[in-house]
Amino acid sequence: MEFAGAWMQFARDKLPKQDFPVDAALLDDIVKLEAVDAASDIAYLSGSLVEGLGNPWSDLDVYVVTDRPPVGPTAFVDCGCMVSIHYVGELRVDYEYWPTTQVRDLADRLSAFEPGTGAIVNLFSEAEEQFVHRLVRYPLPIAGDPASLQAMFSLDTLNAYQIQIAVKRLDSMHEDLCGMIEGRNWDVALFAARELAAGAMDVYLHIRGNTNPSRKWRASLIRRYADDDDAFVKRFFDLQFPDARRLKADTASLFAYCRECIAYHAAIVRIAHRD
Amino acid sequence: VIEVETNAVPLVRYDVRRRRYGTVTWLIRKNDWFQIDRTTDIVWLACEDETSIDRIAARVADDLKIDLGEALAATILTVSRLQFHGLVEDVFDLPAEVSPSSRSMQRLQSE
Repeated sequence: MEFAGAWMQFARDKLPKQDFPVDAALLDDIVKLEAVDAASDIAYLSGSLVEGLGNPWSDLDVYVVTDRPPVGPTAFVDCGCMVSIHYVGELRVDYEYWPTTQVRDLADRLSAFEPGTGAIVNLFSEAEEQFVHRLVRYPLPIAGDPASLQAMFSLDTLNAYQIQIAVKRLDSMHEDLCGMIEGRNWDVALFAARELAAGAMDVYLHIRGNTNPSRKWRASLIRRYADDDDAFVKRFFDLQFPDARRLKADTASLFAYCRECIAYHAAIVRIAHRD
Repeated sequence: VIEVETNAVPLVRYDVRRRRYGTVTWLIRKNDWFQIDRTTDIVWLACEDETSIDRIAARVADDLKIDLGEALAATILTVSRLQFHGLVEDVFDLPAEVSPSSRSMQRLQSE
């Protein structure tokens, strides 16, 4: 419990101000449920709750970097890692097991990345990208010290990769939208234009330093990484909530809306290219 | 001979995107990729900002450190090429036999 007390102090100092559902007793349970041991494991809490993005229904993610398997009864392979699920009271706790060789492989892939060279390809699955983000930015250690793992990853390189791949996503979104416009598939184009603006905001957030790849927290990430009076943010919300009925009733207005979303994406790509 | 109104504003086509990769800048329309030089890039970015021909020329002169007359000639030539390849909306009356078609835009405008 001495360790738990020290950890809680660490969490209080480190965490954003929020309702964080972990107390010393729960932390003790978390360690025991999967027999987390500093001798063999580096384990840390992370995820939306730790990052200050979660809500009362969020689960708690525990990352265990180790070469041993999970011990819990409900374990399965998901997105390239073993996951073991436990329930502690109302809280669901997901343990993700990542072998050290796999973590090293992720680090090697990122190290080999150089912006503006080679093919523009996805280096990571979303789960892998999320793993790297959470390890580098928001680990709350419960066993061992993740510093040695963090040192394997460059935050700047991760961010540069995310900007490049997010711009690439815009390429296909833009192409899709142009095809829909040319095919006069207007109701589909309306959604595609809106998505393009949303994808552009994701690029903008990466430019502002966000490394969380999850799209569901976009609004919270905007609050975190952009100023209230940021012109790109204001325009983003205007483009996300147009008068859809009016647009659907008038093709010229809908086309103008599509053009506006395209211009918005172009303006953000210019920032990504540092123009 | 092309007649030019220097207050005309060339508009980029919605279906063209600009991308830079490493040191190379591209204009991309569907399956056509145009690698562009510095002058064209300055003109393109000015077009994205809905800038008139005379102001584009001023920007070119400023960025490339050349005199305004030379910059205006370069701007007109560049915009003509962009128009010829269907990358900007028609702004000049290019001779019909070399004028690029922009049928999809005509279709949209006729609706």
